[in-house]
Amino acid sequence: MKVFAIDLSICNGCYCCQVACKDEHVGNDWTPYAKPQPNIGQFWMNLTEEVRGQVPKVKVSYIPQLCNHCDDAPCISGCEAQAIYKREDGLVIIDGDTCVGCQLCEDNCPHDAIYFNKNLNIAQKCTGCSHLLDNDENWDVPRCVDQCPTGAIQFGEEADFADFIKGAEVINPEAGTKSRVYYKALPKKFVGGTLYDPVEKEVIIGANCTLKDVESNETFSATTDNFGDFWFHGLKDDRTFSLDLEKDGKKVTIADICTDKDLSLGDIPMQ
Amino acid sequence: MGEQKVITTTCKSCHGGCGVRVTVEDDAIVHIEGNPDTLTRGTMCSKGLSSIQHIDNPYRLKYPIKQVGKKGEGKWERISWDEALDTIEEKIKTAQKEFGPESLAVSQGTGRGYNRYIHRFARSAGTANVISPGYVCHSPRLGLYGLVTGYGRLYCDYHGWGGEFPKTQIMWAKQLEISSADSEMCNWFIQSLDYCKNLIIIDPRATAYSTRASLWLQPRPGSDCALAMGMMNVIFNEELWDKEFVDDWTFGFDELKERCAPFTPEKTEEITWVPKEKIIEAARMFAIDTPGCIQVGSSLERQANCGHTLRAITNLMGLCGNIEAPGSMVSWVLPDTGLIEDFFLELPITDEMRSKIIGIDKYKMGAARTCNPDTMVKAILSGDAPIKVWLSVGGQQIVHMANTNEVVAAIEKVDFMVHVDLFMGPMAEAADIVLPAAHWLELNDVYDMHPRFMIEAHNKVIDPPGEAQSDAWIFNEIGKRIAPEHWFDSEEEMLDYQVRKGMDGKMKWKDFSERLVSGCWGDDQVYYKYKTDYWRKGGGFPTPTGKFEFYSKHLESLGYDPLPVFREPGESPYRTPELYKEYPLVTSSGCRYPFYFLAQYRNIPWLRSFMEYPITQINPVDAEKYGIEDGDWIWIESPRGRIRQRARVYPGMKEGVIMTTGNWFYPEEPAKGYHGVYISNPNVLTSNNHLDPMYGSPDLTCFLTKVYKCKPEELTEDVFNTDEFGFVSAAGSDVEIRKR
Repeated sequence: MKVFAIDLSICNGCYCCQVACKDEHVGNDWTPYAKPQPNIGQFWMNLTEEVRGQVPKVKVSYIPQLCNHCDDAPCISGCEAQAIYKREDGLVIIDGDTCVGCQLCEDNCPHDAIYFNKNLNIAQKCTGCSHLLDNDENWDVPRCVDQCPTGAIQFGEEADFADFIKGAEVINPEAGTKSRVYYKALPKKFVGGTLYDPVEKEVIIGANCTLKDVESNETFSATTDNFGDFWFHGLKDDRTFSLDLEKDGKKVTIADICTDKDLSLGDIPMQ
Repeated sequence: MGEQKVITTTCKSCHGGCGVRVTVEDDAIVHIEGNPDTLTRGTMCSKGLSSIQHIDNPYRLKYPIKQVGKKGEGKWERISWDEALDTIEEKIKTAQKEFGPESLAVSQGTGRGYNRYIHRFARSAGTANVISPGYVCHSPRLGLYGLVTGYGRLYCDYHGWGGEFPKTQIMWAKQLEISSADSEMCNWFIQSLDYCKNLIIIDPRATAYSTRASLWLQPRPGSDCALAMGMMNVIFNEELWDKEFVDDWTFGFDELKERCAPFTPEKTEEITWVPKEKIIEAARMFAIDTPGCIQVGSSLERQANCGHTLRAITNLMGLCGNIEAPGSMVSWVLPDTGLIEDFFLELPITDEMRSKIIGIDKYKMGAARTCNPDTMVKAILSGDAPIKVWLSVGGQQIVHMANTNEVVAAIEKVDFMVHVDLFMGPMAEAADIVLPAAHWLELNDVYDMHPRFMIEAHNKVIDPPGEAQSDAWIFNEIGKRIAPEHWFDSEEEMLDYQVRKGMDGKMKWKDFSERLVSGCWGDDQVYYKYKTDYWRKGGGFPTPTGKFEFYSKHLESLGYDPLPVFREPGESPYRTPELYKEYPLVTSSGCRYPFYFLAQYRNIPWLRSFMEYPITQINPVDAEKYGIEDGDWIWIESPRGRIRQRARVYPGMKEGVIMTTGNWFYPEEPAKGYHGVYISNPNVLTSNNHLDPMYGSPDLTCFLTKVYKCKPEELTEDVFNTDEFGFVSAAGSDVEIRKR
């Protein structure tokens, strides 16, 4: 069974995956795998940019998104024309000749990965370039994977990616569709700030910072670095925290920090 | 299915350099991919990958045409090559006779392989009034590297050939990971990061690499020279400089130290808006964790203090001994084919030609072998410029030069203009005759861009459409008519001539074409050249003092300050505080996007769909202050005029600074108005009054503006009112339209 393994920590946002997908599928009829992808408007491979935080603490991520080739695919179970099927290798295919254009699958897909082609009156999406995998001995990965210059997008047998999958996540896990597209370094909330002494007009280095989840009492600790900066990475969404900053008997407390978004708390004076 | 064949060539969708394999079937390209057996290891970018859409593009020029209306009216008539060439010959010869050879100007866009043809043509025709964008892209750094080290080409040694990779890397106003116009460097840079201890990003906006960097400095655009001097101040105060290199191989250390003394961390923070702690840390990293290198971006060259900025940065390299050591800044050894630029250097600029260069009296570094384009614009407008005939290839001066209104007015005054291009665009509309150029997949040529240790072959894959011809053919044909003694019987003969030094003097174009690349790398590269007889017997740099010159007597002799000087941009919070009250945003005319190259590719559907309209990135705090929401159309206004772009409320933008999208015109807009060049192009806003004293470069990446929301009734042009992706329907393409 095949998986996609995508490491966002080395994706530079070059958009090659998106254009390679276009190059492979626009103007090419790969029936029974796929009808031609329209020139514009559909992005079977879709790179999105996510920018989080506030200056000077900002994180930029690029996230290649495609059909998740789910094992529990709502597009398949909901298709009344039985036009969508799962291959033995795990890839999910819409049969363009059987599709009646009812658009149910588009509505059922929790990952927004299915597009409707008005001209052909069919639903379309990523095929994992299965036309290449099946018929061309030179190809054992899809075009987007082959073209990725940093190796951020990989593809192969699930067993070969066991280590990757251990530390990886899927997008929209709450949908419970058993995605075959695994990600590393998906953006997670952070809280950061800069501690300084307003009298000395210098940053405070080596202060102990303790972030406490006010409901679960879970605590995280950090120390201010040479710039007086502290960072808490990998926090859960929508939690409320209180923050204690301490050094040499001096202390500042900040309450009601909510991770509904990534937070740079700015310059924090401590006297 | 017909027979398939695979042809290997070299991409030129930016300056070029990536190895490519193209599959052809029945004389049509069916597949393009990177060639894994080249130095770029099979990688390509979105621009190169979309080449199929460049070839078969509705905006493509296929035949010579002549303007039958007024300039900019868009009334064209097809003519034959004979008529086109006869007319051009006659116009040039008449102008030469009546007004002198300097009345011919030759212009180019960014280096696309035609550099050496336009220079050779201009020189053979007796003029040095070459209009090149070099003064805002790459020339200043080459000139300053040359002044300081005696050798004009310094590159970051990402390769590890000397046994070491850079331990500290500074990316200064540059995103090499997505916008390496010298594409082969991108791949090596990314690989070298595996060995990099400190990655320092200097950029007013957050990027993927600022996210991963050891240190991210967000300077105020236009303050970079002060930042470099502030870093040197730290290195002097903490005695972190490379003692051995400085003692033995540099000139002017004490003077530089004194010059940097006022740039304390506190003072530098005040000027640059970068916290002093970060300035100190960056200086320490670069000085202590050697070897290190600095990749500068051309944004620094789009500023009117670029000469000194680049000088200060070069001095910073030398101060830390990051010159010629493996993993530092290195000058490369030439390939066996020699210096490809000899193709035009062999025709010297005579004193007579030099004396007629427009701007040479003022911009002694920039206007030494090309004219100063901004001075030329002013001179044409005032009637002082001799320019009667303008032969333009590739570039969009109307788009990329400062003060669009004046540039258009000047260009419209030129008696006779010829433009060579792939696609219809603003410069073509201003021309009297337009010649259709071949795409890189349709021609044979030598790729010659920056890293001087190699050249590569562009091998013809398919025939050009209609009657389009390669730049080489076009210049050879015009050249043969104007100065036959310097041109060639055929294009192939000219290509043979360019590679003739290879294979011990036996190389022909055909050999080179098969070999694909001629280069010198690996063990054949030479480091520490100054310690050997390479440049000078007994060692030393090829400078007047034989040393790395912190202090330049040559500059002094030209009347410039021999040491770096920080000057505020022409319009800035500190130089023009009154103006700043009305125009409170420090503005740059643009960062780079991986899917566009300068003014190119707004007509390529796959690429345009990444960004249909130009965006201006603005910090959320500023956006709120001016009542702007993400996606709003906004006016951006300077004392010269105003443009509309779409606001992108970008959390990673420095407060008080905005970044517009540069070089923007709308191919789908009508000829009148030069394809919408006034609608969104930031150069409507920039000034050509305040120029760099050495290079004549204007402030394109540091000026002042204000922003405010557009009213819906102000979006009247067609581009705002067609269906989504109107650029495609305008081009007559039948496509399915749907937005996610």
